Amino acid sequence: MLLSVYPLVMSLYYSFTEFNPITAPRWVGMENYKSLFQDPRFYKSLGNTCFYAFVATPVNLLTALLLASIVSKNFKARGMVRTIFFLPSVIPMVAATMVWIWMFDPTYGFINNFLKLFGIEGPAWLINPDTTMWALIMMGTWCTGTTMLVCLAALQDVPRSYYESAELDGANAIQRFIFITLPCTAHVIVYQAILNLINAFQYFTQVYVITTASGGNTSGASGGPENSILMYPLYLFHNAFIYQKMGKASAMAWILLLMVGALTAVMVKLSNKAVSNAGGE
Amino acid sequence: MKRHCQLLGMGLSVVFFAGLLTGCGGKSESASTASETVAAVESQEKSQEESRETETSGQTAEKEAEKVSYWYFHKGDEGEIMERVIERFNASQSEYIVEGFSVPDKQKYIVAMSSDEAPDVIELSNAEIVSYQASGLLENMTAMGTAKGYDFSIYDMPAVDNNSVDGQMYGFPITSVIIQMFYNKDLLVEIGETEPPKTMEELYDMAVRATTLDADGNIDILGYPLFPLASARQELIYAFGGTWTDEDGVTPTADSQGVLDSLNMNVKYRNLYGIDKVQKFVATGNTNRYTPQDIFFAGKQLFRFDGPWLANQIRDNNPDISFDVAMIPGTEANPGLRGVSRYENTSLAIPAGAKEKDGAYAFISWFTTEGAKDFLLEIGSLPANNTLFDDPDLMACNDVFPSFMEALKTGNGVAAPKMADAAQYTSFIEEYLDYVYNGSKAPEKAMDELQKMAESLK
Repeated sequence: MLLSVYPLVMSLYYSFTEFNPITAPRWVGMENYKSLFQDPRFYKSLGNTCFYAFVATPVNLLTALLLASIVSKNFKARGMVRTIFFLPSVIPMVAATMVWIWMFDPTYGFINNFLKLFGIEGPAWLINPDTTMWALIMMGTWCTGTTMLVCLAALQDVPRSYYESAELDGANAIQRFIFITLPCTAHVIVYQAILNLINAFQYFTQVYVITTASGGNTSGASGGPENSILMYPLYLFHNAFIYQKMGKASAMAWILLLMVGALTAVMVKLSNKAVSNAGGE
Repeated sequence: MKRHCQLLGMGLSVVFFAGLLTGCGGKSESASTASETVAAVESQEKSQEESRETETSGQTAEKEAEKVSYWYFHKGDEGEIMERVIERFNASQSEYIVEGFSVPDKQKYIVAMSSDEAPDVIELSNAEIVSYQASGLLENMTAMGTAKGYDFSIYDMPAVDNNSVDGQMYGFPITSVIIQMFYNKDLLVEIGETEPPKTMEELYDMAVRATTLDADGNIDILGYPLFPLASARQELIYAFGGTWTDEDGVTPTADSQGVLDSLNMNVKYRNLYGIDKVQKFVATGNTNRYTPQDIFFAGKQLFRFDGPWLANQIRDNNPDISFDVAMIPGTEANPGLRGVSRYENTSLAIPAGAKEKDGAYAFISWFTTEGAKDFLLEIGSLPANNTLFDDPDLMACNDVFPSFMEALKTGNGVAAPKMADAAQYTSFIEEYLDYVYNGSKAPEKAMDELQKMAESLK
């Protein structure tokens, strides 16, 4: 109770006050919320987060499902391939992000040098505001190992007889995937989508490292070039610990809590529907 | 007790934020609570106190001396240098014993000062002086120094200004940080020049002549000092007479002519080679800063605005690079701006809640005068005390110090904004400079918008 309910209640109270770590909270009513709704950066960070959440989540799920489909087949060295796909998920995110910063280097980085092999001149990933978000999405697909494992378990639960019957009826691989694999694993996919979306709304470590690590922030702006990767949790952090506006940060935390809560409720409803549909079939 | 409860509440709320940020399974350094930080420092203090008591047992004279606690942020080798300063002070008199504690975590300072656990002396930046004094956490050093006969003439105006709030000093500076112009002598000779530029117009001309492209049109050698990013935001602006605030430190001047002149020259250079190409080169420069691939160490940058530490980095990474240092140029219209730079200090202050204020003052007074030179020689920093600007030993401790000292003597140091929302203003500046550098907005439009945003800050 002390460690969960008390801070929750206090943060709600603090969201109606103005204070920093030095001064005592001063009641300001709805001022923090009003100020947030008039703050262009609040909307920018919300927009960036929603973009990431609604683009990266399906991309990650598809990647995980694709990888799970590959490693569910019987082939030599299957165990090693599974391990390779899963390995990025156990690497500490800060270390992994530092490596990605180097990989995104426009001149010496692995990605642009790889693209060069095909005659493509890669962009300055982390300094061009048009490419920064895609760089993050690319980083995200790299560590879908956990989602892949869950999808793999779901795939292995699909009865082989369904596929055999479909093959006898002349269904090709794509048809089998759309009409058998997807419906039979829908409940797991929706559940994973919920988790991925919630995680996306809490996306912090990678952008924090990129914007603060030596060599990472190639623009100087605290949210990346033109604040193009200023995510909601990062802006919350800036308000709390850089601008020392604890009341405003508390208000942001509560708005985030309500948004994630509402989103989760919708997704749970969808999940229940998916489960009942799968059961019906 | 009430204050402690309040701090506990704040601390737990921080845990709540951290929980939201990191998810259920995550951990965050920010999650350390206020009570934990105070407890950690108390524990460190207790163990050091016990150790010192053991060391000094039997020494009656030292037992009678008043203890002064001093928190500094240096650690490792630099922490040892600070301990030697303390030893020298303790040996110089018998009235006080200073006990030093390495406390690199700034949050601990805040927690301690706001919960009656303040040390007697703290080491801090001039920006922190402004921030702490906004909440009345520091002792007025002007009043204290005046009462005790401190010689304020050892500080030039930028040093006084940097450590003052409403005309009163709340810290005495020990070191200065400024930036000046490093240049690659070989690249300068290649374009037929023997002397570095004295005006920004000359610098631009040399920069264009020195910039070269590879077969793909990518920049191979960067002439204009667009990197490091912080220098492009500060010294490149100041060299044109632009500043981000008025002399009062609080009125924003983002749309002033100096800022616009600087940005227009910057954009002119970028447009010559293509914004993408310039940004790409700058990005690589940033990722490889102070590594063997650093663009200056690799001989791919003609002019570099950086601090005196760059000289040591060059020696460590590529001693074959032929370089020298000159003052940052002014403009043809205002040549007196030569040597202009951001001006920052590391200072010493007495928290308002300090228990041994006389001892704290005695230590600070000694450190900023008698004790300054030995400390600066050991740590390799520039002085804040102007009586050391011509000191031959300090001049000899780093090849580039004479040029930096010359710049210090111009008094052209520019203080950071002093407004309460300074961190937010800096963040706005970075964002709007991005719009200019990426070609998204013209300098005039971007700075006009920035000015309006800044005017809404406190």
